[in-house]
Amino acid sequence: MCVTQILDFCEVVKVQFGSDESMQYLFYLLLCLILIVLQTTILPNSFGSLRFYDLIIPVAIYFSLYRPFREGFPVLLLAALAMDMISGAPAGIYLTTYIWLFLAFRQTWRFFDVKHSYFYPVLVVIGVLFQLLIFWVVISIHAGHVVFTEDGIRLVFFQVFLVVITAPFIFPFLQMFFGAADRLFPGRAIDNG
Amino acid sequence: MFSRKTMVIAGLVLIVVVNGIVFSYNYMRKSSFYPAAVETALFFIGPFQEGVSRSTGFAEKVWTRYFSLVSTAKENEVLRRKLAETEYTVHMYREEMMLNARMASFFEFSGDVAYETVVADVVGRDPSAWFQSLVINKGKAHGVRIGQPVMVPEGIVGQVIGVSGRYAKVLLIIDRNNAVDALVQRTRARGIVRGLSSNVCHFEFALHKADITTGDIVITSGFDGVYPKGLRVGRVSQIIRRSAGIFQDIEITPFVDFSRLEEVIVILNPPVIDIMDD
Repeated sequence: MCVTQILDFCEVVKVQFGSDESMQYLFYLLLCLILIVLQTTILPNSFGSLRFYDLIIPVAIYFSLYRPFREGFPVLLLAALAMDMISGAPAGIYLTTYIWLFLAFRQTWRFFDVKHSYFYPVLVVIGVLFQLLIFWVVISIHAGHVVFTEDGIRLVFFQVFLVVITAPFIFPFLQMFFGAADRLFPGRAIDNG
Repeated sequence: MFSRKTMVIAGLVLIVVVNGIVFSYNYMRKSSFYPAAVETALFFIGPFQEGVSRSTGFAEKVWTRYFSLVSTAKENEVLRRKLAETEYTVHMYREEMMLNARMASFFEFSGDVAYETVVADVVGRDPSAWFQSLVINKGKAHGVRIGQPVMVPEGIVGQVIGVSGRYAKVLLIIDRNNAVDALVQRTRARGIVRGLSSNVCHFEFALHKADITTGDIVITSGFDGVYPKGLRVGRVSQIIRRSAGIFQDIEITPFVDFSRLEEVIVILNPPVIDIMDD
């Protein structure tokens, strides 16, 4: 019901103001905004001291594997800046994660056939581990010694477990979302990388 | 002119360089870019966070108020008994306060400074477990500025590190990037409270010879120029005295339950300490 209303709203806005191209970017940014709000309001209150994994990572990987560079890069750049500014983390940490994941996976699928949906949860696990690795390195540099805590290890296992459970459902959702974007704003040829 | 491979390598080098520059902004938070970027992000994301937080908060209140009435009657009885005890304690404290006031006037002591405060709702939390921050729904329009201390009646919460018109970002004392100049209330032993991004903090630089025991209360010293003197920070929960070294290894459990924070108080006119005076 709500999704239909949003799609109707996008259709009206598109007719009134925008080109397909700009509307598509707005559509993607809307998705990122929803995910950022979700993971800064509801999700942090759901698992005590543990946290859900970063929901932008599955989107970054999807952009990397299945969408053109000119679509994914600017959207992820803005999402990363928003995350950097809204969180208490050192500036640039999310930017590093998203952009490097995006670029790395774009190169990977040229050599390995990882575009099949079966691989998607594995890739998200790699993405989440990559982000945790970056966080760990930054924290250790800041602390001046290698930070190794029991809570940290528990968090890693917890997030990997969540990815394994949820990623198979996220993939069809993203397929549906990007399919809807292509149908709503068809003015732009999508070459899928 | 250039081959595709050269372009890719050049692009990657460029990204590494840009990445390094952006990272270095972490150490240049006083630059004009960082506050402006934080302000923009809070301006766009803050209202959505507030909307979602209010909705979930309302749903939670409905649940707790209407569906947990079963245990309320029993709880009410216990609370009535506690209230009677508390009334007696308050009476005793009032007597002590009056005595204190008489003594203060006797010594012409100026007493506490009244702080100007504003109460704010917590509308967003840090998405990562490694870093600890909050977004509150009061900003420049309400007098909130970067560097102001944030507290709740139980103790200090953190300090404002980013602000927009109607929202502000607060770095919690349990974050690794935060440090509070503090002292042990009983013995006045000084140290620095540093966050560990968990539910406990470290009390650093407390001398080996300092008299500190488990259960001691740690309060702000006021020397960091952020927090007023005398605010509660936490309780000493563990002490490890090593044979080597001049400092003790002390763990503090903060009085504030950071996972349940809903409202906070921002102190708008904290005392300014001019270190040059010393």
